[in-house]
Amino acid sequence: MSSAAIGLAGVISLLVLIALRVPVAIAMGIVGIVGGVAINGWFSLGFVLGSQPFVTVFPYTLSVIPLFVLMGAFAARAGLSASLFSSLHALIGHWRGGLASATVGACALFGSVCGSSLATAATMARVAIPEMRAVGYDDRLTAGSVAAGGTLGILIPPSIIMVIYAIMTEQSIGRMFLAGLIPGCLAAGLYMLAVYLVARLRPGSAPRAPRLGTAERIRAIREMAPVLVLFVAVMGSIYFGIASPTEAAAVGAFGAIVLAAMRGRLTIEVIRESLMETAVTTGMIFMILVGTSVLQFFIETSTLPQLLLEWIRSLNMPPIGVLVLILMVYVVLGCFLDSLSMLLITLPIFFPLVTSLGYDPIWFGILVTSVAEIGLITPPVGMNLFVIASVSGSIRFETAAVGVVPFLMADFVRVVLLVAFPAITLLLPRLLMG
Amino acid sequence: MMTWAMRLLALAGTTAFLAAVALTMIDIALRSVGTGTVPGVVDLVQVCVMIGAMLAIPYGFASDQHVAIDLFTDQMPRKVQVWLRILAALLGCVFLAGVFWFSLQQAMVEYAGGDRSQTIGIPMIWYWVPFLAGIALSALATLFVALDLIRHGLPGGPHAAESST
Repeated sequence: MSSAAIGLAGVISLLVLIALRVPVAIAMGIVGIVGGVAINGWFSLGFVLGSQPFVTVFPYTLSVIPLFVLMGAFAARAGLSASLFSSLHALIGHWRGGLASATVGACALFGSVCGSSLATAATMARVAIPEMRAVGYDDRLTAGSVAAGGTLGILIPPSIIMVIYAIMTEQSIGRMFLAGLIPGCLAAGLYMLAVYLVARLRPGSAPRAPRLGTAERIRAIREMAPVLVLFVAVMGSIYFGIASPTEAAAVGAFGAIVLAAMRGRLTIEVIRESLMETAVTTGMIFMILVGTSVLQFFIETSTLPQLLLEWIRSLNMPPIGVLVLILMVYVVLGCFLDSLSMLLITLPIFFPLVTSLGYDPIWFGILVTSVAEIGLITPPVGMNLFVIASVSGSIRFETAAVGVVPFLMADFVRVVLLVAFPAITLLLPRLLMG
Repeated sequence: MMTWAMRLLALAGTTAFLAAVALTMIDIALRSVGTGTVPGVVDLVQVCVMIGAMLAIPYGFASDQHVAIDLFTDQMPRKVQVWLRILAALLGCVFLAGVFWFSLQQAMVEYAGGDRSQTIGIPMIWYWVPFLAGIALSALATLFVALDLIRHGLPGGPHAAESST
């Protein structure tokens, strides 16, 4: 059996193990060991298991992950989501579909201080769903706007997925964040457009709220200030070279704790919950990194990526065709795998392929993040849909799944725009970081 | 009992993250007001993160919170689900025990060689200890999970009330 055939058998075995509910990290590790031994012999075990896992979780750059998770955990419990929603409600609630648009806007702003989509969806669901239902919003639009809005958590920097992509592919975290800013805003804008079109086509689904006075609107802007200050402190310190991403994450975590304290939310229970959330998320990410370290060695030594590249070249397919094919694989995989696992399993294969075709790695990273995020709102594994169903208590999973359809269309429009116009992604990093 | 102990350990580990935040903030503050810094802040933050992250991993195994896809297995009979979970836990135990064993050899080599970190010369074994502890406890956690599944079945099943994990 050739190395490439073993590599292919390994990838298939990996998917089978994952389908049999073996934790993704363990499946990657087991396949990496068996495949690695089959290709390189028993003597490789010492290196693969003795060095690779430690070397993978050791770098200082990884420190950014728990600190951003900590920031998001405290931000989610500091009551920021409620302030953001009520502020945007006051500012744009009178628009057609204004409350749903306010939800999307609040998700975007909340996503700027919380790098997790699930946390954004869960936090905003608690605040926005009761308000929208009280005004008479249709359940589908209500659930769809919160589920889709939640995905902005990983699209708008700081984003944990972007950090992991940057570390895995040795790209600058700062460049990744900067590159994600316009696509993230574009996503929020397109979601708002989707809300507007739904409200226009089905006016009964989104009753208008009354327009508030100038004083209330000015007060609303003031309410958003703490979040904006935190965002500027984190991102500004990276872009202006004042702090490294890890230092910026520490500033963000500290800021979120201070904000929680200022709002009287820093109780023992909040601290305990925030720390446990940080522990669970960080432990999960680091364990997947341990599994990835073993799998990656196997994939690299199997020569599968090189063979895939040669095969694609033999097809004489234009690079854009290859890219579209890869993005389609991500969309399909996203229906069954969580975004982090999907990214870590596929990057060792796809990244060398894409860069060899001459594509910008930062641009590809943003595209991958965009497509991975679609998996969060597509059944059957769309985690944000489960979150909405669970938090609301009375909105069914199926209702949420139907409700996200207009937003999925917005997602596809965004991906097409990002592929067609790389400048949308690359403008800011080139302009500000050279 | 085991889940509770692992939870406590994870919670204790996260205080290391708070320490990392505090050290970084002090370093930034010192740099802003003058030329002072916290000596070896990078090395210290690395130790903190290693402690916090590695001590959190066993709790994930004990409480079944590591990423796993149950979309397909949920459709299977309960008995098959139990055996698949046992298989997953045992595979986890084997993998983690392997990582622990070979990492221990590597750690011993570095300890004997007196390897130290680059900035302030922290012995590398300081980084290895939380790593090895996290991996060993995770292997133990998966073994307990497998034994518990064999004895009591899935949580929520006919014998769930007797479950001890």
